Amino acid sequence: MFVLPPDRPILVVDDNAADRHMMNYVFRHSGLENELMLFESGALVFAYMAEVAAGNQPFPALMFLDINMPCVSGFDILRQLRADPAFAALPIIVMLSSSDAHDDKIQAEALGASKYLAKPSGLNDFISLVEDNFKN
Amino acid sequence: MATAYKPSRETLLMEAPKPANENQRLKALRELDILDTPPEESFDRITRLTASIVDAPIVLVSLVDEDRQWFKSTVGLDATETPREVAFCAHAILNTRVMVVPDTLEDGRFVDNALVTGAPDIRFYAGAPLMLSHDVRLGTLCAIDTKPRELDPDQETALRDLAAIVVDELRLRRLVKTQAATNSLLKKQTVKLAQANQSLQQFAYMASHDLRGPLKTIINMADIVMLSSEGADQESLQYMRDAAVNLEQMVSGYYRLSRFECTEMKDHLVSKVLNDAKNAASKDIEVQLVGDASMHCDATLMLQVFANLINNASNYASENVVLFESESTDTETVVRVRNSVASPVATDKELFAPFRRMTTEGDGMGLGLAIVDRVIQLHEGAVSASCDNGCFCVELRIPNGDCK
Repeated sequence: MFVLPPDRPILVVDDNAADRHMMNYVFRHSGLENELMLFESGALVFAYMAEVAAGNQPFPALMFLDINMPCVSGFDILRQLRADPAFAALPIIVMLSSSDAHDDKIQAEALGASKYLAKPSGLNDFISLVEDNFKN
Repeated sequence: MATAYKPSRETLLMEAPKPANENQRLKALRELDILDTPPEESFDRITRLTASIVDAPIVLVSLVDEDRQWFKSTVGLDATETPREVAFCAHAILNTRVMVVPDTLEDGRFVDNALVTGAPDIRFYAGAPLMLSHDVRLGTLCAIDTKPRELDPDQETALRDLAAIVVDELRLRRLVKTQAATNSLLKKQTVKLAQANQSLQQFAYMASHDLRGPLKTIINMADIVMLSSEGADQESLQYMRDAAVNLEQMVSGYYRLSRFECTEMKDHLVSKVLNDAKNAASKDIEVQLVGDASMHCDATLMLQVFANLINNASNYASENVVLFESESTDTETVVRVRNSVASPVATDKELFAPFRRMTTEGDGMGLGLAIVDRVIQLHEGAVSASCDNGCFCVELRIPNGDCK
Protein backbone atom coordinates (compact mmCIF):
# COMPACT_ATOMS: atom_id res chain seq x y z
CA MET A 1 0.00 0.00 0.00
CA PHE A 2 1.36 3.39 -1.00
CA VAL A 3 0.40 6.28 1.26
CA LEU A 4 0.29 9.38 -0.93
CA PRO A 5 0.62 12.91 0.40
CA PRO A 6 -2.56 14.57 -0.94
CA ASP A 7 -0.89 17.87 -1.80
CA ARG A 8 1.40 16.42 -4.43
CA PRO A 9 0.40 15.42 -7.98
CA ILE A 10 0.17 11.92 -9.44
CA LEU A 11 1.76 11.70 -12.89
CA VAL A 12 0.52 9.36 -15.61
CA VAL A 13 2.61 8.77 -18.74
CA ASP A 14 0.73 6.89 -21.45
CA ASP A 15 0.60 7.48 -25.20
CA ASN A 16 -2.90 6.00 -25.46
CA ALA A 17 -5.47 8.80 -25.02
CA ALA A 18 -8.27 6.42 -24.06
CA ASP A 19 -6.11 4.86 -21.36
CA ARG A 20 -5.24 8.31 -19.99
CA HIS A 21 -8.94 9.16 -20.01
CA MET A 22 -9.74 5.98 -18.06
CA MET A 23 -6.97 6.65 -15.53
CA ASN A 24 -8.38 10.11 -15.07
CA TYR A 25 -11.88 8.72 -14.50
CA VAL A 26 -10.65 6.09 -12.05
CA PHE A 27 -8.60 8.55 -9.99
CA ARG A 28 -11.36 11.17 -9.93
CA HIS A 29 -13.66 8.51 -8.45
CA SER A 30 -11.11 6.88 -6.18
CA GLY A 31 -11.39 9.24 -3.24
CA LEU A 32 -7.72 10.22 -3.63
CA GLU A 33 -7.31 13.95 -3.32
CA ASN A 34 -4.19 14.26 -5.45
CA GLU A 35 -4.12 16.28 -8.62
CA LEU A 36 -3.67 13.98 -11.61
CA MET A 37 -1.33 15.10 -14.39
CA LEU A 38 -1.47 13.31 -17.73
CA PHE A 39 1.48 13.11 -20.15
CA GLU A 40 1.38 11.52 -23.59
CA SER A 41 5.11 11.20 -24.17
CA GLY A 42 8.49 10.85 -22.53
CA ALA A 43 9.57 14.24 -23.88
CA LEU A 44 6.68 16.02 -22.11
CA VAL A 45 7.27 14.32 -18.77
CA PHE A 46 11.03 14.99 -18.98
CA ALA A 47 10.27 18.69 -19.49
CA TYR A 48 7.99 18.64 -16.45
CA MET A 49 10.56 16.79 -14.31
CA ALA A 50 13.18 19.39 -15.21
CA GLU A 51 10.86 22.01 -13.73
CA VAL A 52 10.45 19.80 -10.63
CA ALA A 53 14.24 19.55 -10.27
CA ALA A 54 14.50 23.34 -10.61
CA GLY A 55 11.99 23.75 -7.79
CA ASN A 56 9.33 25.33 -10.04
CA GLN A 57 6.87 22.45 -9.71
CA PRO A 58 5.90 20.28 -6.70
CA PHE A 59 7.62 16.92 -6.27
CA PRO A 60 5.21 14.20 -7.47
CA ALA A 61 3.63 11.72 -5.07
CA LEU A 62 3.70 8.96 -7.67
CA MET A 63 4.35 8.26 -11.33
CA PHE A 64 2.61 5.67 -13.54
CA LEU A 65 4.58 4.55 -16.59
CA ASP A 66 3.23 2.75 -19.63
CA ILE A 67 5.96 0.57 -21.18
CA ASN A 68 5.11 0.48 -24.85
CA MET A 69 5.36 3.98 -26.21
CA PRO A 70 6.94 5.25 -29.43
CA CYS A 71 10.33 7.02 -29.36
CA VAL A 72 10.80 7.01 -25.58
CA SER A 73 9.55 3.87 -23.83
CA GLY A 74 8.50 3.59 -20.21
CA PHE A 75 11.77 1.81 -19.52
CA ASP A 76 13.72 4.70 -21.08
CA ILE A 77 11.95 7.14 -18.75
CA LEU A 78 12.54 4.90 -15.73
CA ARG A 79 16.22 4.52 -16.59
CA GLN A 80 16.76 8.26 -17.02
CA LEU A 81 14.88 9.28 -13.86
CA ARG A 82 16.66 6.72 -11.68
CA ALA A 83 20.00 8.01 -12.99
CA ASP A 84 19.18 11.36 -11.34
CA PRO A 85 19.74 11.24 -7.52
CA ALA A 86 16.97 13.84 -7.14
CA PHE A 87 14.40 11.23 -8.23
CA ALA A 88 15.85 8.15 -6.52
CA ALA A 89 13.02 8.15 -3.95
CA LEU A 90 10.16 8.92 -6.34
CA PRO A 91 7.65 6.01 -6.32
CA ILE A 92 7.40 4.82 -9.92
CA ILE A 93 4.85 2.20 -10.91
CA VAL A 94 5.44 0.34 -14.17
CA MET A 95 2.25 -0.76 -15.88
CA LEU A 96 2.77 -4.08 -17.65
CA SER A 97 0.83 -4.69 -20.83
CA SER A 98 -0.14 -8.18 -19.65
CA SER A 99 0.22 -10.24 -16.49
CA ASP A 100 2.53 -12.83 -18.09
CA ALA A 101 5.09 -10.38 -19.49
CA HIS A 102 7.94 -12.13 -17.72
CA ASP A 103 10.82 -10.25 -19.37
CA ASP A 104 9.14 -6.92 -18.68
CA LYS A 105 8.86 -7.74 -14.97
CA ILE A 106 12.56 -8.57 -14.79
CA GLN A 107 13.52 -5.39 -16.60
CA ALA A 108 11.18 -3.24 -14.48
CA GLU A 109 12.85 -4.59 -11.33
CA ALA A 110 16.36 -4.20 -12.72
CA LEU A 111 15.72 -0.57 -13.63
CA GLY A 112 14.43 0.28 -10.16
CA ALA A 113 10.68 0.34 -10.49
CA SER A 114 8.94 0.68 -7.11
CA LYS A 115 6.31 -1.78 -8.25
CA TYR A 116 4.94 -3.31 -11.42
CA LEU A 117 1.27 -3.92 -12.06
CA ALA A 118 -0.47 -5.63 -14.93
CA LYS A 119 -2.74 -3.26 -16.79
CA PRO A 120 -6.24 -4.16 -15.58
CA SER A 121 -8.45 -5.58 -18.32
CA GLY A 122 -11.54 -3.69 -17.23
CA LEU A 123 -12.70 -0.56 -15.50
CA ASN A 124 -13.79 -2.31 -12.30
CA ASP A 125 -10.46 -4.12 -12.03
CA PHE A 126 -8.74 -0.79 -12.39
CA ILE A 127 -10.82 0.78 -9.66
CA SER A 128 -10.01 -2.15 -7.35
CA LEU A 129 -6.33 -1.90 -8.20
CA VAL A 130 -6.21 1.75 -7.21
CA GLU A 131 -8.24 1.14 -4.05
CA ASP A 132 -6.01 -1.79 -3.06
CA ASN A 133 -2.68 -0.07 -3.60
CA PHE A 134 -3.04 3.63 -2.86
CA LYS A 135 -4.48 5.88 -0.17
CA ASN A 136 -3.90 9.34 1.20
CA MET B 1 37.92 -32.02 -78.24
CA ALA B 2 35.87 -33.94 -80.74
CA THR B 3 35.35 -32.45 -84.15
CA ALA B 4 32.52 -32.65 -86.64
CA TYR B 5 33.10 -33.96 -90.13
CA LYS B 6 32.48 -31.28 -92.72
CA PRO B 7 32.08 -32.76 -96.20
CA SER B 8 32.18 -30.47 -99.23
CA ARG B 9 28.88 -29.60 -100.93
CA GLU B 10 29.44 -31.66 -104.09
CA THR B 11 29.49 -34.92 -102.13
CA LEU B 12 25.96 -34.40 -100.83
CA LEU B 13 24.33 -36.54 -103.44
CA MET B 14 22.08 -39.10 -101.87
CA GLU B 15 20.43 -37.42 -98.95
CA ALA B 16 17.86 -39.45 -97.05
CA PRO B 17 14.27 -38.18 -97.27
CA LYS B 18 12.67 -36.97 -93.99
CA PRO B 19 10.29 -39.42 -92.29
CA ALA B 20 6.61 -38.59 -92.81
CA ASN B 21 6.18 -37.83 -89.10
CA GLU B 22 9.39 -35.79 -88.83
CA ASN B 23 7.88 -33.07 -86.63
CA GLN B 24 6.46 -35.58 -84.17
CA ARG B 25 9.77 -37.46 -84.19
CA LEU B 26 11.80 -34.32 -83.46
CA LYS B 27 9.39 -33.32 -80.70
CA ALA B 28 9.80 -36.71 -79.03
CA LEU B 29 13.57 -36.44 -79.34
CA ARG B 30 13.65 -32.97 -77.76
CA GLU B 31 11.43 -34.10 -74.93
CA LEU B 32 14.03 -36.66 -73.93
CA ASP B 33 16.30 -33.74 -73.13
CA ILE B 34 19.35 -35.73 -74.09
CA LEU B 35 20.93 -33.86 -77.04
CA ASP B 36 24.31 -32.30 -76.18
CA THR B 37 24.47 -33.95 -72.76
CA PRO B 38 27.77 -35.46 -71.52
CA PRO B 39 28.57 -39.16 -72.04
CA GLU B 40 26.91 -41.54 -69.58
CA GLU B 41 28.18 -44.91 -68.52
CA SER B 42 24.78 -46.56 -68.96
CA PHE B 43 24.97 -45.88 -72.73
CA ASP B 44 28.71 -46.41 -73.05
CA ARG B 45 28.50 -49.95 -71.69
CA ILE B 46 25.90 -50.79 -74.35
CA THR B 47 28.12 -49.50 -77.18
CA ARG B 48 31.12 -51.43 -75.78
CA LEU B 49 29.02 -54.59 -75.52
CA THR B 50 27.72 -54.06 -79.06
CA ALA B 51 31.25 -53.60 -80.41
CA SER B 52 32.22 -56.86 -78.81
CA ILE B 53 29.19 -58.85 -79.98
CA VAL B 54 29.10 -57.49 -83.52
CA ASP B 55 32.89 -57.41 -83.68
CA ALA B 56 33.06 -53.91 -85.17
CA PRO B 57 35.68 -51.18 -84.55
CA ILE B 58 33.11 -48.37 -84.45
CA VAL B 59 29.77 -48.39 -82.63
CA LEU B 60 27.52 -45.36 -82.11
CA VAL B 61 24.33 -44.41 -80.33
CA SER B 62 23.26 -41.87 -82.91
CA LEU B 63 20.28 -39.56 -82.54
CA VAL B 64 19.01 -37.91 -85.70
CA ASP B 65 18.33 -34.23 -85.00
CA GLU B 66 16.85 -31.70 -87.43
CA ASP B 67 20.14 -30.93 -89.23
CA ARG B 68 22.62 -33.33 -87.71
CA GLN B 69 23.13 -36.70 -86.13
CA TRP B 70 24.43 -36.43 -82.60
CA PHE B 71 26.19 -39.24 -80.76
CA LYS B 72 25.25 -39.98 -77.17
CA SER B 73 27.89 -42.71 -77.02
CA THR B 74 30.73 -43.73 -79.28
CA VAL B 75 33.27 -46.51 -79.56
CA GLY B 76 36.16 -46.01 -81.99
CA LEU B 77 35.18 -42.51 -83.12
CA ASP B 78 36.05 -39.11 -81.73
CA ALA B 79 33.30 -37.12 -83.44
CA THR B 80 30.24 -36.04 -81.43
CA GLU B 81 28.10 -35.23 -84.46
CA THR B 82 27.98 -35.07 -88.28
CA PRO B 83 25.67 -33.20 -90.64
CA ARG B 84 22.41 -35.04 -91.27
CA GLU B 85 23.06 -34.96 -95.08
CA VAL B 86 25.85 -37.53 -94.76
CA ALA B 87 24.26 -39.57 -91.96
CA PHE B 88 23.74 -43.29 -92.69
CA CYS B 89 21.41 -43.28 -89.69
CA ALA B 90 19.10 -40.79 -91.44
CA HIS B 91 18.46 -43.65 -93.90
CA ALA B 92 18.21 -46.29 -91.19
CA ILE B 93 15.42 -44.52 -89.32
CA LEU B 94 13.18 -44.68 -92.37
CA ASN B 95 12.58 -48.35 -91.59
CA THR B 96 11.83 -50.57 -88.61
CA ARG B 97 14.30 -53.22 -89.78
CA VAL B 98 18.04 -53.30 -89.19
CA MET B 99 19.67 -51.55 -92.13
CA VAL B 100 22.77 -53.38 -93.36
CA VAL B 101 25.17 -51.99 -95.98
CA PRO B 102 27.74 -54.77 -96.54
CA ASP B 103 29.92 -52.62 -98.83
CA THR B 104 29.39 -48.90 -99.22
CA LEU B 105 31.26 -48.85 -102.51
CA GLU B 106 28.60 -51.17 -103.93
CA ASP B 107 25.70 -48.99 -102.73
CA GLY B 108 24.64 -46.03 -104.86
CA ARG B 109 23.35 -44.16 -101.79
CA PHE B 110 26.73 -44.05 -100.12
CA VAL B 111 29.45 -44.54 -102.72
CA ASP B 112 30.16 -40.82 -102.88
CA ASN B 113 29.42 -40.12 -99.20
CA ALA B 114 32.10 -38.00 -97.52
CA LEU B 115 32.28 -40.47 -94.65
CA VAL B 116 33.07 -43.18 -97.21
CA THR B 117 35.46 -41.30 -99.44
CA GLY B 118 37.23 -39.78 -96.47
CA ALA B 119 37.63 -40.42 -92.74
CA PRO B 120 36.36 -42.52 -91.07
CA ASP B 121 36.34 -44.52 -94.34
CA ILE B 122 33.11 -46.42 -93.81
CA ARG B 123 32.83 -49.62 -95.85
CA PHE B 124 30.33 -51.53 -93.70
CA TYR B 125 27.32 -50.23 -91.84
CA ALA B 126 24.63 -51.95 -89.75
CA GLY B 127 22.10 -49.80 -87.88
CA ALA B 128 19.13 -50.87 -85.71
CA PRO B 129 16.58 -48.06 -85.30
CA LEU B 130 15.94 -46.72 -81.80
CA MET B 131 12.18 -47.10 -81.74
CA LEU B 132 10.42 -45.09 -79.05
CA SER B 133 7.27 -46.40 -80.70
CA HIS B 134 6.67 -48.19 -84.01
CA ASP B 135 6.59 -44.88 -85.89
CA VAL B 136 8.88 -42.74 -83.78
CA ARG B 137 12.47 -43.71 -84.56
CA LEU B 138 14.95 -41.41 -82.89
CA GLY B 139 18.20 -42.66 -84.35
CA THR B 140 20.15 -45.89 -84.36
CA LEU B 141 22.49 -48.12 -82.51
CA CYS B 142 24.93 -48.76 -85.35
CA ALA B 143 28.06 -50.75 -86.00
CA ILE B 144 30.60 -49.54 -88.58
CA ASP B 145 33.64 -51.18 -90.13
CA THR B 146 36.35 -49.97 -92.46
CA LYS B 147 36.24 -53.15 -94.51
CA PRO B 148 33.30 -54.79 -96.29
CA ARG B 149 31.66 -57.64 -94.37
CA GLU B 150 28.36 -59.33 -93.41
CA LEU B 151 26.24 -59.36 -90.27
CA ASP B 152 25.25 -62.85 -89.19
CA PRO B 153 21.65 -63.42 -87.99
CA ASP B 154 22.65 -63.74 -84.32
CA GLN B 155 24.53 -60.47 -84.50
CA GLU B 156 21.57 -58.81 -86.17
CA THR B 157 19.23 -60.05 -83.42
CA ALA B 158 21.70 -58.87 -80.78
CA LEU B 159 21.96 -55.46 -82.43
CA ARG B 160 18.17 -55.12 -82.45
CA ASP B 161 17.92 -56.20 -78.80
CA LEU B 162 20.68 -53.86 -77.75
CA ALA B 163 18.93 -51.00 -79.60
CA ALA B 164 15.81 -51.80 -77.56
CA ILE B 165 17.93 -51.61 -74.40
CA VAL B 166 19.19 -48.17 -75.49
CA VAL B 167 15.56 -47.04 -75.85
CA ASP B 168 14.76 -48.45 -72.39
CA GLU B 169 17.73 -46.56 -71.06
CA LEU B 170 16.49 -43.32 -72.70
CA ARG B 171 13.05 -43.81 -71.14
CA LEU B 172 14.52 -44.59 -67.73
CA ARG B 173 16.76 -41.55 -67.93
CA ARG B 174 13.80 -39.30 -68.67
CA LEU B 175 11.79 -40.89 -65.85
CA VAL B 176 14.58 -40.32 -63.34
CA LYS B 177 14.96 -36.73 -64.49
CA THR B 178 11.22 -36.09 -64.29
CA GLN B 179 11.10 -37.62 -60.84
CA ALA B 180 14.06 -35.56 -59.66
CA ALA B 181 12.37 -32.44 -60.98
CA THR B 182 9.11 -33.42 -59.28
CA ASN B 183 10.93 -34.09 -56.00
CA SER B 184 12.72 -30.79 -56.15
CA LEU B 185 9.46 -29.02 -56.94
CA LEU B 186 7.77 -30.85 -54.08
CA LYS B 187 10.55 -29.84 -51.73
CA LYS B 188 10.27 -26.21 -52.81
CA GLN B 189 6.49 -26.30 -52.42
CA THR B 190 6.80 -27.86 -48.97
CA VAL B 191 9.16 -25.11 -47.88
CA LYS B 192 6.84 -22.47 -49.36
CA LEU B 193 3.84 -24.03 -47.65
CA ALA B 194 5.63 -24.12 -44.30
CA GLN B 195 6.55 -20.46 -44.72
CA ALA B 196 3.00 -19.54 -45.69
CA ASN B 197 1.68 -21.46 -42.71
CA GLN B 198 4.11 -19.75 -40.39
CA SER B 199 3.29 -16.28 -41.64
CA LEU B 200 -0.42 -17.07 -41.40
CA GLN B 201 0.07 -18.16 -37.81
CA GLN B 202 2.11 -15.05 -37.17
CA PHE B 203 -0.70 -13.00 -38.68
CA ALA B 204 -3.32 -14.68 -36.48
CA TYR B 205 -1.12 -14.01 -33.49
CA MET B 206 -0.51 -10.35 -34.35
CA ALA B 207 -4.07 -9.67 -35.47
CA SER B 208 -5.59 -11.14 -32.34
CA HIS B 209 -3.03 -9.39 -30.17
CA ASP B 210 -3.53 -6.01 -31.81
CA LEU B 211 -7.31 -6.22 -31.89
CA ARG B 212 -7.59 -6.68 -28.14
CA GLY B 213 -6.36 -3.20 -27.21
CA PRO B 214 -9.03 -1.21 -29.08
CA LEU B 215 -11.72 -3.65 -27.95
CA LYS B 216 -10.76 -3.18 -24.32
CA THR B 217 -10.93 0.56 -24.85
CA ILE B 218 -14.47 0.23 -26.24
CA ILE B 219 -15.52 -1.83 -23.23
CA ASN B 220 -13.90 0.54 -20.73
CA MET B 221 -15.41 3.63 -22.34
CA ALA B 222 -18.85 1.98 -22.37
CA ASP B 223 -18.36 1.29 -18.66
CA ILE B 224 -17.43 4.90 -17.99
CA VAL B 225 -20.44 6.21 -19.93
CA MET B 226 -22.75 3.78 -18.14
CA LEU B 227 -21.39 4.73 -14.73
CA SER B 228 -21.28 8.46 -15.24
CA SER B 229 -24.24 9.35 -17.47
CA GLU B 230 -27.56 8.68 -15.81
CA GLY B 231 -29.51 9.97 -18.77
CA ALA B 232 -27.80 7.61 -21.21
CA ASP B 233 -29.72 4.80 -22.89
CA GLN B 234 -28.36 2.13 -20.54
CA GLU B 235 -29.91 -0.80 -22.42
CA SER B 236 -28.32 0.15 -25.76
CA LEU B 237 -25.00 0.72 -24.05
CA GLN B 238 -25.26 -2.67 -22.37
CA TYR B 239 -25.85 -4.41 -25.73
CA MET B 240 -22.90 -2.55 -27.21
CA ARG B 241 -20.72 -3.45 -24.28
CA ASP B 242 -21.80 -7.12 -24.31
CA ALA B 243 -20.99 -7.36 -28.02
CA ALA B 244 -17.56 -5.84 -27.43
CA VAL B 245 -16.91 -8.22 -24.51
CA ASN B 246 -18.00 -11.15 -26.65
CA LEU B 247 -15.70 -10.04 -29.48
CA GLU B 248 -12.82 -9.49 -27.10
CA GLN B 249 -13.23 -13.00 -25.70
CA MET B 250 -13.24 -14.50 -29.17
CA VAL B 251 -10.15 -12.56 -30.18
CA SER B 252 -8.44 -13.63 -26.95
CA GLY B 253 -9.43 -17.19 -27.76
CA TYR B 254 -7.85 -17.04 -31.20
CA TYR B 255 -4.82 -15.43 -29.62
CA ARG B 256 -4.48 -18.38 -27.23
CA LEU B 257 -5.04 -20.93 -29.99
CA SER B 258 -2.45 -19.28 -32.23
CA ARG B 259 0.16 -19.38 -29.51
CA PHE B 260 0.11 -23.15 -28.93
CA GLU B 261 3.19 -25.04 -30.07
CA CYS B 262 4.90 -28.28 -29.15
CA THR B 263 8.23 -27.51 -27.57
CA GLU B 264 9.21 -30.43 -25.39
CA MET B 265 8.16 -33.84 -26.66
CA LYS B 266 8.71 -36.65 -24.17
CA ASP B 267 7.05 -39.83 -22.96
CA HIS B 268 4.69 -39.12 -20.07
CA LEU B 269 2.35 -41.37 -18.10
CA VAL B 270 -1.30 -40.46 -18.49
CA SER B 271 -1.69 -40.59 -14.67
CA LYS B 272 1.00 -37.95 -14.14
CA VAL B 273 -0.43 -35.49 -16.66
CA LEU B 274 -3.96 -36.19 -15.43
CA ASN B 275 -2.99 -35.41 -11.83
CA ASP B 276 -1.56 -32.05 -12.86
CA ALA B 277 -4.62 -31.41 -15.00
CA LYS B 278 -6.95 -32.07 -12.05
CA ASN B 279 -5.17 -29.33 -10.14
CA ALA B 280 -5.30 -26.98 -13.12
CA ALA B 281 -8.97 -27.63 -13.87
CA SER B 282 -11.30 -25.03 -12.47
CA LYS B 283 -14.04 -27.54 -11.72
CA ASP B 284 -14.63 -30.01 -8.91
CA ILE B 285 -15.54 -33.39 -10.37
CA GLU B 286 -14.47 -36.93 -9.58
CA VAL B 287 -11.81 -38.07 -12.07
CA GLN B 288 -11.19 -41.80 -12.57
CA LEU B 289 -8.45 -43.44 -14.61
CA VAL B 290 -8.44 -46.96 -16.08
CA GLY B 291 -5.15 -48.11 -17.64
CA ASP B 292 -2.05 -45.96 -17.31
CA ALA B 293 -0.41 -45.77 -20.74
CA SER B 294 2.56 -43.68 -21.73
CA MET B 295 2.03 -40.92 -24.31
CA HIS B 296 4.58 -39.11 -26.44
CA CYS B 297 3.58 -35.50 -25.96
CA ASP B 298 4.30 -32.00 -24.78
CA ALA B 299 3.12 -32.31 -21.17
CA THR B 300 2.22 -28.62 -20.79
CA LEU B 301 -0.10 -28.80 -23.77
CA MET B 302 -1.54 -32.22 -22.94
CA LEU B 303 -2.31 -30.96 -19.45
CA GLN B 304 -4.52 -28.31 -21.04
CA VAL B 305 -6.27 -30.97 -23.11
CA PHE B 306 -7.08 -33.01 -20.00
CA ALA B 307 -8.03 -29.95 -17.93
CA ASN B 308 -10.40 -28.77 -20.66
CA LEU B 309 -11.97 -32.22 -20.92
CA ILE B 310 -12.44 -32.30 -17.12
CA ASN B 311 -14.02 -28.83 -17.16
CA ASN B 312 -16.14 -29.80 -20.12
CA ALA B 313 -17.38 -32.94 -18.35
CA SER B 314 -18.10 -30.92 -15.24
CA ASN B 315 -20.20 -28.48 -17.27
CA TYR B 316 -22.22 -31.05 -19.15
CA ALA B 317 -22.11 -34.36 -17.25
CA SER B 318 -25.35 -35.56 -15.70
CA GLU B 319 -23.35 -37.35 -12.97
CA ASN B 320 -20.40 -35.72 -11.28
CA VAL B 321 -17.74 -38.12 -12.54
CA VAL B 322 -15.48 -38.32 -15.58
CA LEU B 323 -13.70 -41.52 -16.63
CA PHE B 324 -10.34 -41.56 -18.42
CA GLU B 325 -9.20 -44.78 -20.14
CA SER B 326 -5.81 -45.16 -21.78
CA GLU B 327 -4.01 -47.85 -23.76
CA SER B 328 -0.95 -48.03 -26.00
CA THR B 329 -0.35 -49.81 -29.28
CA ASP B 330 2.88 -50.02 -31.29
CA THR B 331 2.06 -46.83 -33.10
CA GLU B 332 -0.08 -44.71 -30.82
CA THR B 333 -1.65 -44.06 -27.45
CA VAL B 334 -5.43 -43.93 -27.27
CA VAL B 335 -7.12 -41.96 -24.49
CA ARG B 336 -10.91 -42.07 -24.12
CA VAL B 337 -12.70 -39.65 -21.86
CA ARG B 338 -16.28 -40.53 -20.93
CA ASN B 339 -19.02 -38.83 -19.01
CA SER B 340 -22.76 -39.25 -18.79
CA VAL B 341 -25.03 -36.72 -20.47
CA ALA B 342 -28.71 -36.10 -19.86
CA SER B 343 -29.53 -35.50 -23.52
CA PRO B 344 -27.74 -36.56 -26.73
CA VAL B 345 -24.95 -34.33 -28.03
CA ALA B 346 -24.28 -33.79 -31.75
CA THR B 347 -20.78 -35.12 -32.31
CA ASP B 348 -19.89 -33.76 -35.74
CA LYS B 349 -16.71 -31.89 -36.61
CA GLU B 350 -18.36 -28.61 -35.58
CA LEU B 351 -18.22 -29.75 -31.98
CA PHE B 352 -14.50 -28.92 -32.01
CA ALA B 353 -14.81 -25.53 -33.71
CA PRO B 354 -13.94 -22.52 -31.55
CA PHE B 355 -16.78 -20.74 -29.75
CA ARG B 356 -19.28 -23.55 -30.20
CA ARG B 357 -21.15 -24.24 -27.01
CA MET B 358 -22.71 -27.65 -26.39
CA THR B 359 -25.57 -26.04 -24.51
CA THR B 360 -26.48 -22.56 -23.49
CA GLU B 361 -26.12 -23.58 -19.86
CA GLY B 362 -22.85 -23.66 -17.95
CA ASP B 363 -20.05 -21.17 -18.24
CA GLY B 364 -17.01 -20.97 -20.48
CA MET B 365 -16.82 -19.49 -23.91
CA GLY B 366 -16.78 -22.65 -26.00
CA LEU B 367 -13.04 -22.81 -26.47
CA GLY B 368 -12.39 -26.03 -24.50
CA LEU B 369 -12.82 -28.59 -27.27
CA ALA B 370 -11.18 -26.25 -29.80
CA ILE B 371 -8.08 -26.26 -27.60
CA VAL B 372 -8.27 -30.06 -27.38
CA ASP B 373 -8.51 -30.28 -31.17
CA ARG B 374 -5.69 -27.81 -31.78
CA VAL B 375 -3.28 -29.48 -29.36
CA ILE B 376 -3.97 -32.98 -30.69
CA GLN B 377 -3.48 -31.63 -34.24
CA LEU B 378 -0.11 -30.25 -33.18
CA HIS B 379 0.76 -33.77 -32.02
CA GLU B 380 -0.31 -35.05 -35.46
CA GLY B 381 -2.94 -37.09 -33.71
CA ALA B 382 -6.68 -37.40 -34.15
CA VAL B 383 -9.62 -36.48 -31.99
CA SER B 384 -13.21 -37.62 -32.32
CA ALA B 385 -16.35 -37.68 -30.24
CA SER B 386 -19.29 -40.03 -29.94
CA CYS B 387 -22.49 -40.11 -27.94
CA ASP B 388 -24.31 -43.37 -27.23
CA ASN B 389 -26.95 -44.24 -24.64
CA GLY B 390 -26.35 -41.17 -22.53
CA CYS B 391 -22.57 -41.58 -22.61
CA PHE B 392 -20.49 -38.85 -24.21
CA CYS B 393 -16.98 -39.95 -25.22
CA VAL B 394 -14.02 -38.02 -26.60
CA GLU B 395 -11.30 -40.19 -28.12
CA LEU B 396 -7.72 -38.93 -28.49
CA ARG B 397 -5.20 -40.75 -30.66
CA ILE B 398 -1.64 -39.61 -30.01
CA PRO B 399 1.02 -41.11 -32.27
CA ASN B 400 4.34 -42.34 -30.93
CA GLY B 401 6.99 -40.22 -32.60
CA ASP B 402 7.87 -36.66 -33.20
CA CYS B 403 5.51 -33.75 -33.11
CA LYS B 404 6.04 -31.74 -36.26
